[in-house]
Amino acid sequence: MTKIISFPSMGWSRIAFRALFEKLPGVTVFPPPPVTRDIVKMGAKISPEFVCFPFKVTLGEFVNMIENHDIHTFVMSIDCGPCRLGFYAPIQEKILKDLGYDVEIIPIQQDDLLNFKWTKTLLQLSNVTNPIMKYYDVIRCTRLALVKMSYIADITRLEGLIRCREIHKGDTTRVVKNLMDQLDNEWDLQVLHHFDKVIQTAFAKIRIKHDIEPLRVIVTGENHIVMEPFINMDIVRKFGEEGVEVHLANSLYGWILHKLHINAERKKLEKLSKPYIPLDIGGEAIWVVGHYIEGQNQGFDGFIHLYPFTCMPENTARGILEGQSPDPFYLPIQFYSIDEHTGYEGMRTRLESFIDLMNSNRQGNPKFQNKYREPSEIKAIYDKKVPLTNHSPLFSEVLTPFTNNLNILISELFNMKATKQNTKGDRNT
Amino acid sequence: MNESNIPPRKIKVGIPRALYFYRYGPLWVYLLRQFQCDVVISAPTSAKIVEDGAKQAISELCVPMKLYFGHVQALLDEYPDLDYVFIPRYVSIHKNQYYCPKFLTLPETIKYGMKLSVPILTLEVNAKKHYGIEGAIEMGKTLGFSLEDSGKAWMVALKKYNQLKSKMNSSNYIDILASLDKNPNHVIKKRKFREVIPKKIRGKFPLSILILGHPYNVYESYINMHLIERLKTLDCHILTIEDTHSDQFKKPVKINKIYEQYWQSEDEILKTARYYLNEGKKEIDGVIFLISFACGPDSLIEELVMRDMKTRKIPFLTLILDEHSGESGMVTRIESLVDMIRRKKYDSISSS
Repeated sequence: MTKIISFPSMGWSRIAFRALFEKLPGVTVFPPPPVTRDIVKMGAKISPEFVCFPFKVTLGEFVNMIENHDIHTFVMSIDCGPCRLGFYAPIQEKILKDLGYDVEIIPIQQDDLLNFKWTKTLLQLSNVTNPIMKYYDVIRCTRLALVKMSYIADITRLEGLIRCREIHKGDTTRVVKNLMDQLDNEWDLQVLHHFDKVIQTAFAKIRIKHDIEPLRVIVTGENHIVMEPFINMDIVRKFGEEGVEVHLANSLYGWILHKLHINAERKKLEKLSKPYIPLDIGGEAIWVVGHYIEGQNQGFDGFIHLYPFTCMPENTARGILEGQSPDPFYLPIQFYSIDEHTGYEGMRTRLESFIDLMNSNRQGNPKFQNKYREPSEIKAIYDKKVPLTNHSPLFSEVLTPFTNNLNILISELFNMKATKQNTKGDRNT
Repeated sequence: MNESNIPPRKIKVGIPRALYFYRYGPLWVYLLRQFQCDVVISAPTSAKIVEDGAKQAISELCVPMKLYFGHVQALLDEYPDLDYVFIPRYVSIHKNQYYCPKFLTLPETIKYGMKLSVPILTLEVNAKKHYGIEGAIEMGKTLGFSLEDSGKAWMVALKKYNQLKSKMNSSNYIDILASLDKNPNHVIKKRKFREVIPKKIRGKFPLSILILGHPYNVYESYINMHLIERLKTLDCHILTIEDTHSDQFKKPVKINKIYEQYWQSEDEILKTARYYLNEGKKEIDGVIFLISFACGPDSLIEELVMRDMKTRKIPFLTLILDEHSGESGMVTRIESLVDMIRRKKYDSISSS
């Protein structure tokens, strides 16, 4: 008998979560429906009063799936860090059981992926009896999930960079949706390893304005809020339509790499923010401050900090960022504290006035340095002389799936070394 | 004139009377006195401190944090010749546990949030990294003490603190904390409350009420509007976490089969609740949970405790504190809770 399981969606990340469980024998995955107003309302109604917003959204999703789709088993990540995330699963289960639902929430441990506690969940779900074959499935599922995750990160990054340049409004949104659907339904690992070319050809079809210098803004904050477009009122799209280049700082792939201790970028940011936040306090606080300092050094135009109302770590980061402005922190910043009462119109007004502010900051602020450089991704996609072809030589069909994974690891390791050397050089000068 | 007759000026260290001063305050004072510092403590919370704090802190922080900002400001205003402000960093005192994230970066939050000009003296308590004594040694280094002296100072302070802790209970807690402050201007005035119960029946229908919550909410009488005194005028016997026997705090709390809780600051609340839900059920008639608005850990723990109390049919009231709450609203709620419990308890006895 197969078990039907589901999980909270967290924007496009649902594709990666689905990939993690889909090919596990004994498990049927029900892909979670996108978040809507009703789901949020449902969750807010039965949640504790001032718990953080992701709790309410995920609980609403569970209730929706129980009532409308008859799913009774969910997988939910738990943590043992200082923030509230670790308590989500047990308390949500308690609330749902008190409401009379027959429900089981299976936790998946994510506090340190290198201790491999998370494999326990997968092994427990699989119905294979042979202990060695069990691990085979776990490895395959993990590979699928990791590969898809990395492509989701690529697509969302390109989306933010390209939308502000598109000539026909709506092209990017359509392409992104098509690509995500394609990625969701692709299960062949060998095809998946060439998927970056599919992404590039799809984006290359969008006609864009070249040689413009749009405003650049970093969007970051709490992971769930940043990644779930319904919750953050699709702030990335709104900025893009206003002609602002968005650098989305959060991705599930980056988070997983960080949990595997090989995310060089996050390590660099931790170093930058060390004087302000000396230790990881949960949430994204330490990297938010790091992104802010880095953005200021790189001459960005603005910074958006999204976080759930009453979030403890993000509030700490906000206090520090707010207390230190305008000196030494002069990069324009806007905070969005989001909960179930946040409305689109209020956000739009603030956002548009922020764009005006960034424009005047470019001209009026003596500290602002124009260091605009066109992102390398744009050049890689649009300035290609050789047309992209989907070649599939026999040799690589066997080897690439293995070497590609290795390559990712090796490049990450080199990155780490490079950043280490860089920081050493800085210290010497 | 002999210059050596004049004693060298002592280092003046100020402690804000907020947050974990209400739990570890005596320890800090003893430790700083061992280091031959002149310890000053900020004035008891007043309307001005609350207002200052709310102005300095960002609006979404919880009330105790806002009060902390206010107390630091009050310290700076009252003692301009301060050498250090003492702001501890409590990370964990057990390997698998953390304090609330706001405690983890408290020194930085204050330093960068307020643009503090006075240097911060910090004591890091971090069982994940080192023992408590090593934190004290680090602190001694900044004050110019040798390794042995700092170690000895920590041991003496800890011993004194443990002795004091065993003596403390809900009735003398506030007085003992107040006795640490030698400043005559800082005497907390006792407020007299109208006796609600008529003299004839006073003491005939006693109730015992358990007050759960962090010490900085339960014993901060300004922000909880003298809850303990008010309940006493209603003929209630008060029990708090400090009255619970220390044996109850030894076994770890499990939320469910696979899950252990990791918040240090919630640990004692959950353990006390567990005791009164099981063995101590007969000792209490009702429970009041004090939580501050926008408190992260409490928002989930309160849900857990509330649901457990519901299944055991123990009357339960949650009081949410913030800097805007009015006195009369709270008094009405307490009085109605006490009336309800009393009616239920003594009706059933008289009818049977």
